[in-house]
Amino acid sequence: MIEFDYEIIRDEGDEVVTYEPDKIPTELPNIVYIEGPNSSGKSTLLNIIALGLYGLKNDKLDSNLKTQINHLVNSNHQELTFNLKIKKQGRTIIESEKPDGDVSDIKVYEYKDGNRTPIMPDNFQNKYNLIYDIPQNPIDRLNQLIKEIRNTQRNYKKDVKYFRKYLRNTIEEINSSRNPKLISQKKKEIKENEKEIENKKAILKKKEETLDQLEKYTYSRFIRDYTAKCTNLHEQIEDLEGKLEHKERTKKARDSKLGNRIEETREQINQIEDIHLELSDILKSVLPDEEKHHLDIWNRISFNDVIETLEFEDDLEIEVNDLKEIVSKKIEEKDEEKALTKAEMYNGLIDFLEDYKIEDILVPGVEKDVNEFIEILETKAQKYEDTLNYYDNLEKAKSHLNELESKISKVENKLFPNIRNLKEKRSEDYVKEEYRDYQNRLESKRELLEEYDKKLQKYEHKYAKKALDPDNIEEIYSDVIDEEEISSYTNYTEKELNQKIKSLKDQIEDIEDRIKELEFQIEMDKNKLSSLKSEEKHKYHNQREEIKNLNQKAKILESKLNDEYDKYITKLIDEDINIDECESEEERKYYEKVSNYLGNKVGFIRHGQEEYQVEYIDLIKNVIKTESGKEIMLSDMGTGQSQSAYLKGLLNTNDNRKIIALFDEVAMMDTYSLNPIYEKFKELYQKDQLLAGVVVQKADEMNTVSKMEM
Amino acid sequence: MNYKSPDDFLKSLLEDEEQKKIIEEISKDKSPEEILETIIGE
Repeated sequence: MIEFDYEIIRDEGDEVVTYEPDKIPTELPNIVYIEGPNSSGKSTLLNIIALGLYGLKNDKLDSNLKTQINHLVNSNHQELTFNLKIKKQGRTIIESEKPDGDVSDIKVYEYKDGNRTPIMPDNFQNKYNLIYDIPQNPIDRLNQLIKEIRNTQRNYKKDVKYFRKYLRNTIEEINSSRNPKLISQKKKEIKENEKEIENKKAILKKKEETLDQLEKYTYSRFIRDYTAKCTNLHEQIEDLEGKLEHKERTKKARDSKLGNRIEETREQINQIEDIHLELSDILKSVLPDEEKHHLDIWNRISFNDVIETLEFEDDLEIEVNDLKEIVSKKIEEKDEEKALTKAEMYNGLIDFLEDYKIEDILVPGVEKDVNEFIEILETKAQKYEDTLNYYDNLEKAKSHLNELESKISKVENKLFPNIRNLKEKRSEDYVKEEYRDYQNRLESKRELLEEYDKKLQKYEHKYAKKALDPDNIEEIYSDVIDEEEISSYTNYTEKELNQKIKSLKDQIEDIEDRIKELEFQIEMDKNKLSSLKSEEKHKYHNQREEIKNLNQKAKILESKLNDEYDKYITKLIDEDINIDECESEEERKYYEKVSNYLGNKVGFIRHGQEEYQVEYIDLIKNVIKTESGKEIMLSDMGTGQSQSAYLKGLLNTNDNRKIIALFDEVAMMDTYSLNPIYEKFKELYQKDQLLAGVVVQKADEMNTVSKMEM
Repeated sequence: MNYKSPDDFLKSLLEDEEQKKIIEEISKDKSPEEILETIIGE
């Protein structure tokens, strides 16, 4: 039952007229057909029912209808009061009233167990579905259903966009929140760096010890050497000065030919002396201990009197021969190739393992970690490097001895006899040349002394910098030479030792730099760790990847709604589609779904005398396909039939809200077209899905017909 | 699928279950927080 009453007090300029329901009964069946002439109150009744059921706040209501409804309450020239009740089986379900004509507020109540409770618009629309329509142009109204799809898509696009924004914020929050994985990773990095520092410090300590020993050895050794050399040079200089003084007294002129020959010989002897001197250093590093006594003899050989006596000391020739034999023998024994291969292998292994030394890996077979294993390899490589140096010096010694032998032979066999012949024709110039020779030799010795003295001072300075006692050089030297660490360096030349010291210092500096770098990194990591620990863990921390995937899917969804679907539905609304030119299979499917959707919405249609279940409505081809396979062009549908199809479409919903349906001006619909609507009303009413169904039609006579029974 | 509302029509277009779920939860007027809670919680 629909019970209603209203009063409209309207100022019509010349008089104030009150309108009340006087032609239509104020109690109507729930399903009812009303016909009557203009101004009989039919549309007013529908407008009041719609107004009373929050029609002005219903987005789906046609805007023209809303304007009419609004006119009822928001006009200056009239005041409306009303009361409306919708009952079912004697019980009131909904009541709506507007008791005050001055105020536009509508009060709506819902009844439960006989008690009425106010119901607000949102809640009302969640529970009740007000359908109010004037189906004037059914094809256009089918388009309304399409527009409804577009609006829905656009609304969802906004909501999905908003949802994605929330997802992105959530991901950012998770990223900046407490992260146990990152904390664990940071702890591991700190531990690894601390371990590397520990290893580096151990290596550093060892290298510093080696450097200390090597410096002590090198500086003490060369202080001793250069002191001895300087003493020896002092003696030679004193001897030459004495000889020069003597010659000064007896000097006579000699002929120039003899002078030239002496000059040439002197040059050769100087070269021999240089080679002899260089060999002193080399021999020291290559002679085995049992042959070291040759060095004493070798160092005692003097070239001061050679020009005067025209002969070398006997020891020179003897020693050259002996030393050649010793050196050749050592060269024959050498196994250089094998040492070279091993040194290359060890250095290659060290280079490879350097990349893994921070890893906690044990080398199988030796059960040492990578750092310890590198150390072993370095010791081995050092040994083979020493061996290679040794072989190199042996070759140098051999070459120098051969050169020395060749030069001695040339001087003895060619130059000396020549001078002797010329000496027999002794002239004043000979004495003069001898005098000049002594002067040159003296100058050369003084230069050499100066050079040695500088080197001596350099080593003394370095020795002093190590805070070693200058009076204990011999003791330091004898102590250090017994060290195992130093044993492999005793065969090194001066240049090789200084290179080794420089190399060790460079290595130590590199290690110290690395330790500083690691300590700085650890400090930063500890600060970072502390900051990470202080952060709260996000509640979705474990779902981070899941949320990222969801965001990706939502992004695709947003793109579909915003681009593809909106484009497709707009084309459909604009009737701008050639189905054969669809861009994609997806677009084709979309239109298929739209057709099916319209078919579902309409459900059944009447065509001629028959009723058909609709499979789909194709708005591109403007054709209705029925379940039985019949194809009916929309243009062939009678207007009334089309209206009927449209209204049934409105009633075909799949939610559980209770429907209040108001259809006005169904003028084009005959009994055949309207009956399916009433049938649908009854079906819904019996399923408790419809509270009221009112159909209104213009007619000459007033008539109200219940459609509860047909 | 017998879809009669634009919401159901929209869901019928989608093949991905999570995308369908997003639409379904939005249709229930849920807030983004509630939608995420529902989807992640499942």
